[in-house]
Amino acid sequence: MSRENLKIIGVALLSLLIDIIRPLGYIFLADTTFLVLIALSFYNKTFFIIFIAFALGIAQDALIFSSKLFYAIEYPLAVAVVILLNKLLHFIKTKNHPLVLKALIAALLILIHTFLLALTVKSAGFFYPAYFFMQSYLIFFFINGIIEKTLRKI
Amino acid sequence: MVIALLVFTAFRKTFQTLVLSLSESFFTLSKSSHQEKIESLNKKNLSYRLELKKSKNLSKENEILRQALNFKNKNNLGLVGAEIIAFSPSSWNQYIFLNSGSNQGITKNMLVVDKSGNLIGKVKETYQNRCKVILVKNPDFQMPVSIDNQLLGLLQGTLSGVEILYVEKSNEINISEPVYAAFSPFASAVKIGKISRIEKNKNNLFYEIQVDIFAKDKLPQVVFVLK
Repeated sequence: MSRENLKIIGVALLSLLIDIIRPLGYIFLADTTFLVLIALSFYNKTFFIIFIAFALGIAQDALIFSSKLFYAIEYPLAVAVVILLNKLLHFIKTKNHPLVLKALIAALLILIHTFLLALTVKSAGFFYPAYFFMQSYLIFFFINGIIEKTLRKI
Repeated sequence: MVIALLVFTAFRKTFQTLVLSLSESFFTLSKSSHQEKIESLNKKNLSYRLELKKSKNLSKENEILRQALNFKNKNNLGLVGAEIIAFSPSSWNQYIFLNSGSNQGITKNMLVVDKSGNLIGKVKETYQNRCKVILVKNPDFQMPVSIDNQLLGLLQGTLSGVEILYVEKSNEINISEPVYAAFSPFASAVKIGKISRIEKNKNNLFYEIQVDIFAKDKLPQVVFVLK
């Protein structure tokens, strides 16, 4: 296994650990695992990241009693969509605005993720999903910045 | 598909046990003897404060009830201190795991409070040395409550807060009235919050009541289960 892949596994496991330990409790709403997987899939466009996403999805489903393979299906699909959209929409990426494509794809994925989670909860309302989306979107850029520094681009 | 689900169920149990053990080790790495002393003192402090609240609110009522019904007043207040060892990974399904379970006398539906006696949640499932606590803001959390020890309603979590359901519009209620747990041995001692908003919808028989809970969003490391 290459050093790059080991780094990816390490970062992915760390994100799951943060979600379980939650240093700030539920003040911090974002699903760190999901955001890290999206950020990683911009750098590793191989089947390996889809497999990592599936493994993390299984792990998350195992810890959330009410979900039955929800994340095991959602995470690899989300990663596959990121890789596909990144290829199809490469014309949006420019030298001056490299983040534009990432921002658009991330916004779309996080929005779909929020919508799917809101469907699973009986009384989500409007405020909580909106707050969750905004917080997740902002934190995505923070996570993306950290991953850019720790992993080299492929 | 059935076989896949069976395999997954078996894997889930093993994986949960492994993760919770690792998480508990992580949390107890920095524990010191001073911390144990502090925990013990906090437990005693909370026990005394809850006793005082219960006595003040119930002494008169209990005297009348005792004379009328001739029953014995239970004055035992059992507390089990426990540490939070893990959270649910999803913030849409909020619950916590504690490092105490049926071996420590914890059973389902016991209330969980912080050191100030503010309600955090209630025990949903118990294991030998662990239990799962559903938090107040979890949409699956429901509990009977009383408003200012008079009106009854059903407390329901809504992720962003909590609301009280099934309070009829014929009743008079005001903002800032306190909300207590109902139908519990600690009913008047466990404060949940105070009313922050009341809406009267013409097409609804009941009020729409929002409650500001006293428990902080950032949970303490040590909580107490009321026996």
